[in-house]
Formats: sequence, structure tokens, C-alpha cells
Amino acid sequence: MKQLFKRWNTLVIMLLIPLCGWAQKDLKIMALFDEYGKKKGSTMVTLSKEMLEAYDMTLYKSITISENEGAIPKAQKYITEDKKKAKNIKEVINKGLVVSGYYQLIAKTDKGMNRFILFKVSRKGSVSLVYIEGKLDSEDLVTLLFMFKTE
Amino acid sequence: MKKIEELLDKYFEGATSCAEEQQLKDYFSQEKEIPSHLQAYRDLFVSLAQLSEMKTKQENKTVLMPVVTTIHRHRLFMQAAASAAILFCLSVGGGIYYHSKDAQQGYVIINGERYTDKNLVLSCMEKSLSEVTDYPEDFLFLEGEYQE
Repeated sequence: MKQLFKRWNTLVIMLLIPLCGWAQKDLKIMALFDEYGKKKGSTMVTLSKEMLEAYDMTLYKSITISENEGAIPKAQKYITEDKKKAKNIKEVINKGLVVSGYYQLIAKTDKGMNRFILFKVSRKGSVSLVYIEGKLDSEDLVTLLFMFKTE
Repeated sequence: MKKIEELLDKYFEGATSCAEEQQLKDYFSQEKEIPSHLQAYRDLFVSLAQLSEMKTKQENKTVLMPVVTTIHRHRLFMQAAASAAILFCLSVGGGIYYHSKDAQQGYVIINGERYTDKNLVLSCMEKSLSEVTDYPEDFLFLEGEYQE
């Protein structure tokens, strides 16, 4: 019976190991998507594989949260944690708090991959957050931002 | 016959051995032609014989019970483990399928409602990108000019 339990535990552990590395759990901001993504006043976008390829991305997630005061300090707290993993940072700070931020994170494993976080608290009190992963570099990202700004 | 009478006397004196008592029980339960003066003892020994038979059966049962219970428990455990494994695989498989479906499809969730319309997803993406930056040119510095 003990042997059976040992085998059973081993099986469960083996099944759980691959799940640990599955999601983007190394970033605190991902909790914001989980917590506010489906709430009223939120808009959460996840791009399809086909759309991602068109922009040289492997992952795109964005969220805009309005009508929720609690989300702003939470997002700022998560950003403060995640920016420790950034190699390039530009921030606008108001009264000691980040109101706008651009972060290029250190690549996880693949050297050709880049990771970006774009963050902004609007004057109306909504918070916007974008997470991008892919082969696009900051110039590509700027082009993309200009493209949508002019359109 | 004399022997049986002697054994009966011995029995009522409380001096019989187990084998002798068994002999009496066997005689009264198996013998068809019992003399009339011994008929009175027939019921007693037949009852005693039945009682000891029941006792033996019960003892056999108690010996078998733990074995059956252990096998039963083992089977129950195996069934529970198999059910748990199936449930686990289904939930993991379902999760992987759900995520891969999302990755293939792309979606936007607005106020808790999920939409997969490609144009809507793209327009929401554009809107979110325009919301996070007022001056995209600010981003150009990122190629190492002002590294932390």
C-alpha cells in the first residue's frame, strides 16, 4: 500500500511539474489580468497566433481598467516589483508614484526575444497596461505605436 | 447402546471429554432408530450439535472477513485513484485545450463579456496601445541610451 502511495505521489508531481512553467507567472502584473480581466469596467485583449505573427510578437496582452480605484495602487505595486527585471526604464512619476512607464525587460531564455511593459494612469483615473513578448525590438514597437497614433 | 447410556451418565456427571460429547451429538443427530427411553435426550443433543455447527461457521466467517475487507479497500483505493487520475487529466487537458484555443483565436473581454470578432479585437488592441502612450517617440531611447 505504501508503495502504491509513493507511485501515486510521483505521478501527481510529474504531472504538476510542466504546469509550473506554463504561464507568464514570473511577472506580478499578470495577477492584474487575472483579477480585473473579467470585471465590469475592464477591457482585456489577447491576440491570436495569426495576429501576433503579423506584428512579430509571440504574446500580446493588454488591459484597461476604469471605474476601479483599487486597481491603480495595485498596478503601481506590481509595476514596482516587475521593473526590477527591466534593463531599460522610462517613467513619469507624480507625487512619488509611477503614472506612466515604459519598460524593456530582460529576456527570459531566448536571446532574440524581447519583453515590454507599457503602463499608464490616465487623468480620468483609468489604468492601462500592455505586455508584449516577441522578436520585435523597441524600434518596431515605436513604429507600431506611431501607426496607431496617426490612424 | 450400553456405551451410549454410559456416555450419557458420564455427560450428566460432567465427566465427558470433547470427543465423547461429539460422539453423543453424532449419535442423536444421525441415528434414526433411537430407543424410546433415550428419545428424551435426542432434542438436547441435536440442538447442541446445531449450535456448535453455527459456532464453527461464524468462526470461519470472522477469519475470512479481514481478508475480504482488505481486498475491498484495495479495490476502492484503486478505483478512487483511477477516478482522480482521469479527472486530473481531463481538467489539465481541458485547460490546455482552452488556452490553445484562446491562443489560436484571440479575444477581447469587455465588461466581462468575451468577444472573438477579429476586427473588434484589433480595434481594442489599437485603442489600448494608443492609451498607454501620448508620445511614442519617447520610447526611442530604449536602445541603450538611458540604461538603468
